[in-house]
Amino acid sequence: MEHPNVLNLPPEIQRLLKTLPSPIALELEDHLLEEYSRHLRDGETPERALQLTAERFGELLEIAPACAAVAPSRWWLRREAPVDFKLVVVGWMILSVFMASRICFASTPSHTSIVACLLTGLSCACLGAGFLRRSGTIVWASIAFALGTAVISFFVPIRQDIADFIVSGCALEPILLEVIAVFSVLSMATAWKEARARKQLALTYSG
Amino acid sequence: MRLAYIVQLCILPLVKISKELNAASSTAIVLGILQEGESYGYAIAQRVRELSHDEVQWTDGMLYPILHRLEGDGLISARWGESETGRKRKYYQIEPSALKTLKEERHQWNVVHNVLQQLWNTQTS
Repeated sequence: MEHPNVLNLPPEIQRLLKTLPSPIALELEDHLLEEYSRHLRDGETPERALQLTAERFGELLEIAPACAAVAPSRWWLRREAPVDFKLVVVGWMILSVFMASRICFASTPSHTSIVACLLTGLSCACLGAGFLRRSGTIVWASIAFALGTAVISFFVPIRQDIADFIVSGCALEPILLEVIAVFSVLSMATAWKEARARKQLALTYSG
Repeated sequence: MRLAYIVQLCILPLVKISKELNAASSTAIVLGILQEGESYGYAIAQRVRELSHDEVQWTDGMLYPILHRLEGDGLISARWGESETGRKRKYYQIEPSALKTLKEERHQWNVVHNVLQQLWNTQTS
């Protein structure tokens, strides 16, 4: 978003406006134009309307410290997570516990199964942390882990020798791996959507 | 005598609400206005003036940090839309979770109002 440059306001006010996050400046610009238009409709000359508007605008000097106090906390990332994202977080938590329990019961756990379990756990942890801390970066990391889980779950059972190994060593049926892979892809899409929404929100407020 | 009183009333300036009282009442007022429906900064400020017959005059500098704080607290949500002229405009709406806060604020203000009313009624009678 571009910083507004409305009306012929005093330079010190314009400088102050440029220090504000652009969405706040845009909001105030909208407010100022409404006020300016109202004075014009009331029959004021453009000069007088500008003067009256600028008088009200002068009070903006108080807004700078108030906005500065709000901005560093990155409160704009604290948006409510959508229902599908919450479901994905819960789904990964259940999956992590399930994977860990299967590996615990396997007679000879394979390296693949341990890696898959770790990826599932990390994805779950990242999504959970992203959900609690409202951070976009952590959600992007979970997408990477979910991708790893999906790749392993999709392609490992294709090879019969590995599939047999998984059934015995990983205590997971190949069909179950396919289910996990589909869930990974779906959750990746949801997490991707959420991460993009948060990134957009952060960009909007950082200007 | 009566005429003099009326003239005096007309000459008296409007009572302006103090900064402290404005700040204390801002949450209840903003949430109350947004309970009427979705709105934006300028319209909220205008509605306050209209309801108070211009006695409560909010400055731009006061209203926007309040709106953003309430948004940060999850009491209201915002979306970017367009004005009638096609300009970008930020619209605010109340969240269901804010209704409890509004109810508490209303109760507190009613208590204060009742206390003062009883006190001043006693003093005048």
